[in-house]
Formats: sequence, structure tokens, C-alpha cells
Amino acid sequence: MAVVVALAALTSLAAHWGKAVFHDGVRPIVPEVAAGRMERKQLAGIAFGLSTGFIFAVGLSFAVSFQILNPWLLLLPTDILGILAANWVLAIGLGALWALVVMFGLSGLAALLSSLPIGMVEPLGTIAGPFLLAVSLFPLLAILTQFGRLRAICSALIVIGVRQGSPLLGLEGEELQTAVATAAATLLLVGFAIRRGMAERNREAVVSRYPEESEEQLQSRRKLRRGLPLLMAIGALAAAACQLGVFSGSDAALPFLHNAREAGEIQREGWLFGAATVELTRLLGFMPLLAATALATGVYGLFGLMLVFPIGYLSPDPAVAAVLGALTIWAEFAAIGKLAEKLQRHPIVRATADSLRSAMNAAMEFGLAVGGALAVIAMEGGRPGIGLLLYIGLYAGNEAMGRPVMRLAIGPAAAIACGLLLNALHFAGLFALPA
Amino acid sequence: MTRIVIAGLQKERIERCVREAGGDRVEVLVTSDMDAANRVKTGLADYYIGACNSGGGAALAMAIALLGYNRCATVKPDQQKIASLVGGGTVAFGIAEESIEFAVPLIVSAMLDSAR
Repeated sequence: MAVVVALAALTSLAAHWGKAVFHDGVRPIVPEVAAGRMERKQLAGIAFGLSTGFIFAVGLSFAVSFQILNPWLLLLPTDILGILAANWVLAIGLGALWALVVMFGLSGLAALLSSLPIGMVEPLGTIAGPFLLAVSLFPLLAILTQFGRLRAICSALIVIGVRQGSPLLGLEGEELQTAVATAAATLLLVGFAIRRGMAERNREAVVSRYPEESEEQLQSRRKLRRGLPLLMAIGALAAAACQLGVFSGSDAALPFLHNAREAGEIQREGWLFGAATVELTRLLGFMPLLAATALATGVYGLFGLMLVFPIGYLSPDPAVAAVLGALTIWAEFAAIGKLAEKLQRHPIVRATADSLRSAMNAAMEFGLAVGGALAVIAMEGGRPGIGLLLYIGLYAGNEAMGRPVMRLAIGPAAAIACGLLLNALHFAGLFALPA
Repeated sequence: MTRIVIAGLQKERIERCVREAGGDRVEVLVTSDMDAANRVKTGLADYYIGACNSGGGAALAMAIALLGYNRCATVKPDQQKIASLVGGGTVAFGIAEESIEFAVPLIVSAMLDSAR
């Protein structure tokens, strides 16, 4: 896919020039190189240390399970390669090369796994089911932690009502029901947040507490603007890749995109709508962080405020997606100053965003853990046995050892490991699928 | 009185652990990461604790941006490392969300030790 190769090449370039990186933790450190306080190699080393867990545990296991590219596998390494590269030509070359390695590697892996006696590819795909059910709940979890039990229970009743009742309104099919449930939960969360925000605003005087930020922010904005053309190109490519169904902008949208690819024409629309809804909700959680970090450091998030993803999912073809993607980046950037100002004046936005992200992680971790277990049961023929035993062992062992594998990744990673172990046992004559 | 600001994911959990570990010798504020980092920067608070998935990403992003890379550190539940970082001038600590209950008591006790 030329789109993917181009995307990787350009993101590597963006990292090389210090314009934008994917990793939230690397972003504030990037200016240290330009300021002369840090060597490129050192920054690359730090970026590598921060990224390895994500690349392999999350990126690789998600990519193998769902057969869709994700930013952790594809773009965290281009961050590192771009920073490390001695000149911009190398940066582009290494980025492109990595994309090829990933794509061929993944298809090779998929082919290998397909050839194994104990099937893994299909069962792994079923992780999508529990995963997306959990994801659709995360706004409710956010309501719980931020607004308390009563509102959470009421919201839950509404959301369940909406989900189960939507067929009566003509919205049939799991994909639509899930999307509608997520949308309802999000609206409730936003509603509570707005109410509380207005109450807070009436109580406190609006004081600009940090006047010295303005000069730094202006500098940052100028710096960001210089990188805008490159970022618009990246946005265009990302949207196109999303439209083509080969790339997911986030973990939360993955199961929806996976199901969209497997589904028939009519259902695909519904799943894509679900992906867009979830992605939109997710980016609400990241917007304050992205905007604030961008203005404080002059380094942008690789995909702006990430609106390009839902736009990509919903676009009718890659060309439209690309154009809209570029325009979106431009529009986001134009708005970013206003956005940051609003954020300063309404602390409720950050609080809501924080609780959204917390809730999202908690929900995904659980959904993936359950999904992994069900996938393993499917692998061993439908009834819990040695496979599930191994899975539980791996999961519990990971917890007991202080989680060398992060909780977000342990579900799919353990499922893959169990699949391989089942095959190993099979070759040793110690395991066979039930007749 | 050691003043600690808390930000990032699972702030409420961190707050609980900090209060348990520090009792009435700590003053705790839970807020957004930008506000928290600014408070440490302007001297309204002494230390910053933040959590995210890995401890290195969103946990410290704003702290690094506003306080500088040298005053921030991602830590695991490692008593000695944390104590030496506090002694060396680190004011912002990032932890992985999963190690909150293990790391926070160590961080708080190191902070209290250095305040004496």
C-alpha cells in the first residue's frame, strides 16, 4: 500500500524535523534537542525506552489479532527512526522501509498462523466482540468516577434502554445498537460536564492565572505553523489509510473496523459509524492534552487533534478522505489558540478528558481480557480446557510479576501465546481438537 | 507541610494513596496536569505526581514541558531510585497506572524524608 509507505515516510520526517511525534511522552522532550541540551541519539534512546512496550505488546499483538495496522506498530518506530536519522533523506527512507517491513512481516505472520493445525486467526478476530462492547461502555465509567454513582446508574439504565430499544425505532443490528449506545453515553457525559461547567463558571471569577504563557505560546504557534504543510500531508494520508480500512487511528476503534471489514455491505456502514463515534469520544479525552502540549512545546501531535480518523472512516473514497484530512488538520490548527483559551477558562474540560481517558483504559483492559479468554476457548474447540488454563496462568502470572506486559496488551498477547502453545502441544502429540 | 499536586489518569486513586502515606504532613490537590505543573513551577506546590499507561507518556508531558526534562522522572516502585531522585531535585514523578499502590507510598515517604 503506497499510502501506508508514504505515511510512514512522512511521519519519520516530521519526527526528524521535530515538528510532531506520535508518543505523548516524547513530545515534550523533543525541544531539548533543538535547544542543544540533548543529543539526537539520547533522545532516540529515551523514545525507544518509552516505546518498546507499546510497540510489541500493544502494537504487534493488536495488529496480529485484528489484521489492521495501528499507530503503535507503524508509527512509534518511525518516531524513533526519524529522530535517529542523520539527515532528512535517511529519515524518509527508514520510515518507508519500516512500513514495508511491517506490512510484509504481518502478512507473513498471518500466512504462517493460517498454516498451523490449531487455527488462530479467526478466533483472535473474535476478540473484537467483547472489546467493542467494553469500549461502548467507557463513557458510563467516566460518569461514574467523575459524577458519582447515582448519575452513573441512571445513565446506565438510559443507555441500556437505548441499546435494547433501538430495534423498535428501526435501528437493527448489533453494530448500530452499539454505536447508538455509545453515542447516548457520550451525550450524557457531555451533558453532565456542561452542567457542572456552567455551575463552576458562575461560582468563580474568570482570572487568567498564567499571563507569561502568552509569549511562549505565540512562539510555539509560529513554530507549529511552519510544520503545517507536512502535517496536512500526513493528515491526508492518515485519513486515506483509514478510509481504505488498513489503518486504525486508535485502539478503541479497532474492533469496529475489524468487524466492518468482515461484514457485508449494509452492516459495514453501521460498524464504520460505530468506529467514528468511538473515535470522536476518545479524541475528546485527548484534545486538551494535545492542545496544551502543542502550545507549551511547539511540537504537535502527529495527527493534530485526531479528527482525521473518524473523517477517514466515514469518507466514501480515499481521495475525498485525503482532501478532507488535509483540511481538517488546517482547521484544527486555526482553532487551536481559541481552544487552549477555552480550556484555561473551563477546568471542567480537562477534568472530563482525564476521566474519559481513565475510563477508556479501564474498559479496554477488561474487554480485551475477556475477549482473549473467549478467543482461546474458541481456539481449543469451544470448551474450556488446557487452552484457557494457560491463558489464565499467563494473565495471572503477568499480574503477579508486576505486569511486565501492560494490562492493555495482555489479553491479545496472552491469547496469541496460548494459540502458539496449543500448537506446540499438538505437535508434541499432547493436544488435539475435540472431534 | 509538603504540598503535592496530582494529575493524570486515576487521580482519585493516587490521592487516596498519598493521603494514606502522608497523613497530615501532606497537603494534597487533585487537578489538571497543566494546572499542577504550573503550581510547581510558580512555587504553589512542592511536588507533582502523575500517572498514565506507562508512566512516561501523558503522565509527565505537561510537567516536562513546563518544568524541564531534568526535574521530571518516570519511576517504578524502586525505593532507592526514588529517594535519590528526590534528593537530586526531581519534583515531578510519573508512574504507570498499574503500580500506583506500590510506587506512591515510596514516593511520598521519600518526599517527607527530604523535607525533614
